[in-house]
Amino acid sequence: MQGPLNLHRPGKTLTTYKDRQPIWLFLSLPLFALLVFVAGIPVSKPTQAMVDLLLLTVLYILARFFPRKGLPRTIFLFGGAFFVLRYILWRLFFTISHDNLPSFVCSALLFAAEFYGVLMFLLNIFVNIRPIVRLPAKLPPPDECPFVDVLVPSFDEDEELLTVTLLGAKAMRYPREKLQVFLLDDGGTEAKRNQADEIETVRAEKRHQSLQKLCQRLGVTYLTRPDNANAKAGNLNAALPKTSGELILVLDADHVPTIDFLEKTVGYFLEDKRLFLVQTPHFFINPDPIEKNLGLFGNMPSENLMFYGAIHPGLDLWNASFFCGSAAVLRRKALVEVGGFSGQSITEDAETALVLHSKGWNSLYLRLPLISGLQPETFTSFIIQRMRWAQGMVQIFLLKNPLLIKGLSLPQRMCYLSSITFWFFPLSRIVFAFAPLVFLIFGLNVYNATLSELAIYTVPYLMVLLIGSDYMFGRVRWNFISQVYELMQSMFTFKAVLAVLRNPRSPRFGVTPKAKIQERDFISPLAKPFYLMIAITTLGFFFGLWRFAVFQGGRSLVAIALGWAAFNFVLYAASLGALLERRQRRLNPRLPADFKTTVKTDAQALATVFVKDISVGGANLISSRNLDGDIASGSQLFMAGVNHLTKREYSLPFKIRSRHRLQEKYVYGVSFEKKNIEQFIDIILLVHGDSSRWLKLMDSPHPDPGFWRGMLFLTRTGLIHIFKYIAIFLGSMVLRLTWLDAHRHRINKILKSVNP
Amino acid sequence: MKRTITTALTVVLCLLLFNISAKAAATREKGTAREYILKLSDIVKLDAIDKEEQINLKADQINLITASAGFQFSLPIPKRINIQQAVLHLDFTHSNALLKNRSQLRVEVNGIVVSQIALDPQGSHVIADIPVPGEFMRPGYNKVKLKVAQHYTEKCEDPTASELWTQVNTIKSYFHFVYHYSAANFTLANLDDLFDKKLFDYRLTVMRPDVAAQYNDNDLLWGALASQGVSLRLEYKPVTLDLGIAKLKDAPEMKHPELSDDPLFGLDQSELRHDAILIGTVGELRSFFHPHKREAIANAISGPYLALFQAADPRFSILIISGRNEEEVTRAATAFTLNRFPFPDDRSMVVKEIAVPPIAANIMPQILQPGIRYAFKDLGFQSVTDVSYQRSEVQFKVPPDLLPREKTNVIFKLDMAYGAGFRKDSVLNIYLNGLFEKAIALDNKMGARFNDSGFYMPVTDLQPGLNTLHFMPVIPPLAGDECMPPPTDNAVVTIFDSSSIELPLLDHYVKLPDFRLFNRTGFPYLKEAAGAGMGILVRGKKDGSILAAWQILGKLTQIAATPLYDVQISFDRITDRNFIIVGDRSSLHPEDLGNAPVQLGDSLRFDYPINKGSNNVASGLIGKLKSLADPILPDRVGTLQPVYATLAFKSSLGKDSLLVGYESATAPGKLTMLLTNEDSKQLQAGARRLIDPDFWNVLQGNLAAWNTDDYSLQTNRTPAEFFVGQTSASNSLAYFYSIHRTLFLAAVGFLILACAWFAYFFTKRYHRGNDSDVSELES
Repeated sequence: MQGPLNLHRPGKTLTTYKDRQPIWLFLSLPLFALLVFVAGIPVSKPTQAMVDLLLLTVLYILARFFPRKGLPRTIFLFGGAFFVLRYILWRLFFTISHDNLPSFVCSALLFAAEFYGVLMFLLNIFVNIRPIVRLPAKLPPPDECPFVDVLVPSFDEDEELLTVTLLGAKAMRYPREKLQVFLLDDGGTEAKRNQADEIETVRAEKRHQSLQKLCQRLGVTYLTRPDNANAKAGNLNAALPKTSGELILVLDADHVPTIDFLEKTVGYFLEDKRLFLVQTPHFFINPDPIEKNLGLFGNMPSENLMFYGAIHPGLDLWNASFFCGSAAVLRRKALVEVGGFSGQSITEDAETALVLHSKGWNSLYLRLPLISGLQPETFTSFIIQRMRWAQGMVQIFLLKNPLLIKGLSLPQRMCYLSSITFWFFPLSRIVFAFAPLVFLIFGLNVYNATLSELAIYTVPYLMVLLIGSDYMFGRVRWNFISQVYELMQSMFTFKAVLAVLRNPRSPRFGVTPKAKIQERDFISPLAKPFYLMIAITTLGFFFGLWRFAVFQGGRSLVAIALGWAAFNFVLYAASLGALLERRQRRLNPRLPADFKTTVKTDAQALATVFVKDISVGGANLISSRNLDGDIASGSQLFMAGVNHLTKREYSLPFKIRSRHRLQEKYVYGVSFEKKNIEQFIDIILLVHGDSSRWLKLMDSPHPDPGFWRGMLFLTRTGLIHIFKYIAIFLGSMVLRLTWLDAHRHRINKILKSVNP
Repeated sequence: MKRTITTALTVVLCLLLFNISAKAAATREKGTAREYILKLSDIVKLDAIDKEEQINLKADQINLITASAGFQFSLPIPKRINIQQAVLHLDFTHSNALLKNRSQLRVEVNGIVVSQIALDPQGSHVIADIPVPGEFMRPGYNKVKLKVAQHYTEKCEDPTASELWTQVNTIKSYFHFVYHYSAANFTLANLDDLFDKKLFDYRLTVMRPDVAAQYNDNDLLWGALASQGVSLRLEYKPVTLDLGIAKLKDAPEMKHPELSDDPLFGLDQSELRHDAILIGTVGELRSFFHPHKREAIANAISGPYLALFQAADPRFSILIISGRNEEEVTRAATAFTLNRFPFPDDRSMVVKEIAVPPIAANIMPQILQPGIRYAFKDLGFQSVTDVSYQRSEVQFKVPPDLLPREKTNVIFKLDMAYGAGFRKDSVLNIYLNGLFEKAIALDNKMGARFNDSGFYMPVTDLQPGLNTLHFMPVIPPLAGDECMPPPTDNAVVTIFDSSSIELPLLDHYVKLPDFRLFNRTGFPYLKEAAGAGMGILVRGKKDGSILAAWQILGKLTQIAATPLYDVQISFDRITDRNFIIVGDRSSLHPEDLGNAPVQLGDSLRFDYPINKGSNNVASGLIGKLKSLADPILPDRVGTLQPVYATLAFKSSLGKDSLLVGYESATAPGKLTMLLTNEDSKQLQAGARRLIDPDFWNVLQGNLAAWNTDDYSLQTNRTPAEFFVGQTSASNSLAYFYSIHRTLFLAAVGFLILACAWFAYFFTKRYHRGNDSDVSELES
């Protein structure tokens, strides 16, 4: 992966996107149409088999032995597109069942779901045909730097969390006089402080007072507003008249910027006067609930890496990088021109970018993680977040459809269509979940094809999907884990998407709860739909076995449907694993580190130790010798050294909380004692300040283990968790019975009193 | 050993069959009385089943199963004959588990029992000759019913027990008739009785006055129209044509005309043994008229003229087709081909005007046009209530040149009703051309009536031309007391004539030559209405060649079921049409053979299939890949393919006639068929034999050779094919690429590379144009 941190592009004026409607794209349409036409030509089965065999071989060779860029990449993508087109045209013309009305309806639904998948595949090919990566822009001399306002909108986040973010923002390398940080508090608005609920009123007032003091202490401007209209967009818009910086950096309350954020982004705005946005990746330092509960954090690419690591560089080629709500610098002039952040949908970020693109403004994407943030800890909060995204994107599709809105270039339309329609995946997922079941249980012919046709059309198509997905996203997402993610979200976002389709203006902005401590393991309250699906799939499986035994004529198709149902079953079972929520006792996640520091007392340096991991709260230190004998009782210990980012010495007081021996080393768990703001900033810079560390973590290789190993992993995970759930269920039954037995006397007494 | 026995059995079987066939083929004549053998297999029909009957009819047998079963068929008796003696020769086998005193087979003719035969388990194979009194049979179709009562016990029994069966061999069973023709006294209104499809065997002489040294194209055309007129009235029955020279009687016989009323007194009829058609202008025919009536008759011919006279032998008739000039004769002959409504009840008529409507292509009766919904009643179907195992059928024709796309369906919308109280497993079985296609569950205990109940059949299941859809409810009786048969009157299903059928929109595109397509539909000759796109080129002005051409044309007219008055027939040349060349070998021109896959010049050359199989046996992966790259036709996949040897030799064709099809050398995209023989008389006999159903219906491939013997027809397919019709670019490419796989792969590869290069080149330019300091990210 590229992205050398210390390189900057030479300062120059960016060529603006004059070629907004690429003529060549229109010129090539007849050629692409011819490809579609040829893809639709039915040929004999042996001919089709030959095409399958040779084309798959070519695709495999391209994927295995050629660089995944340049001409080999486009050949691969067009080869894949041909396969996919051929499959879907064959499905359309030859496989829709007309046996009876229910079969036709189910068959058409399944086709629609597959068509959606093909559409997404083709749009992905378009978006990802040539992903690009940029060098960071060079910051001009201080007197030429524009004024920057950092806006940190907050709703109900913890004060400690806000402190870290605000101090991180304050610590960014940028001319001091040109940088101003604002906390936009929506939790202490006038409306919140004067609401009917007295407890909530007191809480809001307390928060208002407390945050005001905090801001005063940190040198940050505290802003709030009369009400909470239009949620985050409204909060940001309310701040616009009260601020004046030429550029605006938006940070979520939990997004701590690295020291070089502005250094690497502001320069772009000087090069392109029509640039309205520089978006950077959202890099998360804690696992999402699925990663956490399946124990995969650190072992696989983060779920959002596909978007920030692969798709967004693709969007960038087409001048279609869009605002993701945080970790982005925006130009005030552009925002003012369109009346601020758009609030028609609950994803104000993408909507704002869409409007600005349509007005001819440009955007770009810097594939360099310059913030570190937190993901939702529980599956419930994860789903709240995803429902908001799904509903917001569907709202945009309905209210500001990129195909209809004026001013966008054709590629931009395609890119927005890709980003937005992705969120319809719950609809197709649910169809895929039920399709094998209606065949197995009701015998409805949902897929009118023979075994040989499945072999020459469907199997190669699925192989191309797998190979193609691996080709484009194999290094940023594990395919089978992706299936679990999509399936788990679908169960809930399905209804949410339907609700928006029924009433596009109904959704309300829901803040994603983050940085919450969980004291114990528990089963997510959202597990019920998965129980139901496991039960129905099991039922379908038995029906399938019955069909297999009784109807000898269609055994091959029954076997395929059984295989499909079994695949779904494995996904449901693995989902159960992700729904068994693990406890989380640490508010600040510990992050791996690899620097040396000196442990010292007031009087002397004791040893140079290796910092294994670190968080704002503490660290794990590894020493080659036992330090206990050197530490006098009651003496204050310090972690000291020179921060390579600031070239400034730091000295951080700490206390040892735990110690243990690891082979020949001694491991000390320590907690920091923050005496003053400077020390706090030093800790924050050590933990969150270094963007090279984030890039290294983001791009650490986690190659997809492949289909079979992936399936094995999911099957094993699924089986383990099914047994775990059974054990938990039986355990609760035993507990209940034991409780009943213990209280039998009392219960009898109560019953007698009720019915003497 | 086993093989020897099989061979011996085959020889015996062939001899037996030959014996019977020889009987059937020959009509013997003893004085005025004639004999005829009519096999049951030729006359049984699937639709003649009484409601209580349960049958399973196959090509060569009638199975009568259950305690009470029967089979009814129609026996055609023409109006022109008197039956002197009729004997039903019945050959059947029955179960040897039957009770003799309670089991019997009875034969009914028009409801009258003519015989009953006890079914004795001691002699389960029965051969019986059953006399059928002539007075029981009337002209038209006579209902003959074979009915059995079959029991295996005196006590209560299961009426559906499997031991209750009788099987009638329809090949060995036949009617033997002795009959004679009654005096023919017909008017023009009775032409359907004269040319009666019920006649056992029909022969006709076409007569031309001996005035011309050689025949010309008018002679050809008039005979062709006359042949069509007769063939259309005979519907499906072949006619044997003779070509006669109309001559004056010898002088002694011309004396005493006052003693005769014969209007054709001057015509020598001494050789006439059957009906005749005499064609010519009034000038040519004048001398044949009765001297006393000559002027009157000649004056009556004041335009296109048709007249029907009794021949000297009163059993036969002579049809006169005449006019004042050749054009009027042509119009009269054309008028004769119009057969849908009777002519006036008079012996003659003068045609004043013929207005033939313009007819679009592909509109044979009952032919369906793609994309149009047809009610069954438009196809001649009437609403019918069937009981269990009773069949009803609807027939329709499919355009012969449709290109069936994979998985396209014919849409049927069924309006039907069924009774209540059925067993749950009752169904309505649907058969297409005798093959089971679909079952509709009759599973509503309350009965049901529904409209527009859709079901589908793949277009590929249809045959070009005539198709028959059968409906047969199967409603098993409810279980009841063994001695109390369950009620069956509720077990009824009605199919309404408002039900409909619709062909999907398909292209017209077909591979030629294809004799199977030709024998079923006459394609491509009958594609245009009235034979507008068809020609017949007769080589050598020999009687046999001319008659052979008329015989073939008559057969094609029967397939079209409409007169082909636009057909072009000539001794000289046919331009820009699909045409048939008819002529003996010595008369053929070198250009006639153009693209023919055979040579018939000084020496003969044929392709001989010497083996079936692939000489390119795939072994291992490389072998498989090689076989995939072979340019083979899609319909050859998975089948054994003939390997041809070419043999050239100097010889004659002997008695064999030859029919060969190929693309015209002079008109690309048109089909030429060549019908030839070494000798023109044998050519006529060959043509006549060819149109017999047992030969005609099994024609296939693009090369056929036969002689007049039974079972002599040999067919072959040589690799000389071409496509006709119009289809979408996609479909024609589908055909092309299925044949040329490597080209398909090349096209796909080229397109992918072209698109990829295009996209690569321009995206590179695009992103550099926007910002040259970015690089492509490798995923």
